Amino acid sequence: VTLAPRATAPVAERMTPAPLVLDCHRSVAEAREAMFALGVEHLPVTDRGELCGLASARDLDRLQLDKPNVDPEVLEVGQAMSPRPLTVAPATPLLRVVERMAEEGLDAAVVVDGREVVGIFTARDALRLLLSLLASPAPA
Amino acid sequence: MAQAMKVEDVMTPHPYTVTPGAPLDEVASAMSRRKIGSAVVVEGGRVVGVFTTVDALRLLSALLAEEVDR
Repeated sequence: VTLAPRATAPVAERMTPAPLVLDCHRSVAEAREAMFALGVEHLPVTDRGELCGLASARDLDRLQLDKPNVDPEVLEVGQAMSPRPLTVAPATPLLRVVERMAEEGLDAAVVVDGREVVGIFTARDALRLLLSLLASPAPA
Repeated sequence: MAQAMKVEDVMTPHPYTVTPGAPLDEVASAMSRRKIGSAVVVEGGRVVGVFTTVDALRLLSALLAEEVDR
């Protein structure tokens, strides 16, 4: 059996598909609840249906530290998110995505098909891939 | 208020620590399972390094590149 090289496999094979996407005007409290309920650390953020950022649990922490006296029900996800996240097409080879994340020190890439968010590839997905490579290295 | 804060107010106490000889797969697995971004490497009570998800991404990138070169 010949395994397809994982390096050239499309990111779509290893991404977390159909992530929850939040509108930028939703509250930080709502984002936290969603992250907790889904067990995720990142949520793509849209403005009028267009991807405009990525909110990580750390981004929410940072905003709440900056504004300790503001109710998280009032703070908006758009204030917390990191704008202009790394975006890749579903067919982008895994090696390319991982290289860019490593070079730019990013812990997630948003997978978009045209204007639609179809997945997210996070450092956690990368750790799982690393584990599979360590468990079954490519044949010499 | 944030200006008066100290790092101990916001740090993660009791971080995940490993020894330099810990198997990489165990460390990567624990980081993925616990959803944490780094492992502090300690030896004899002294911090000797930190292994982060960016280090994991660099390693993964090198391993994947090796596959392409074969």
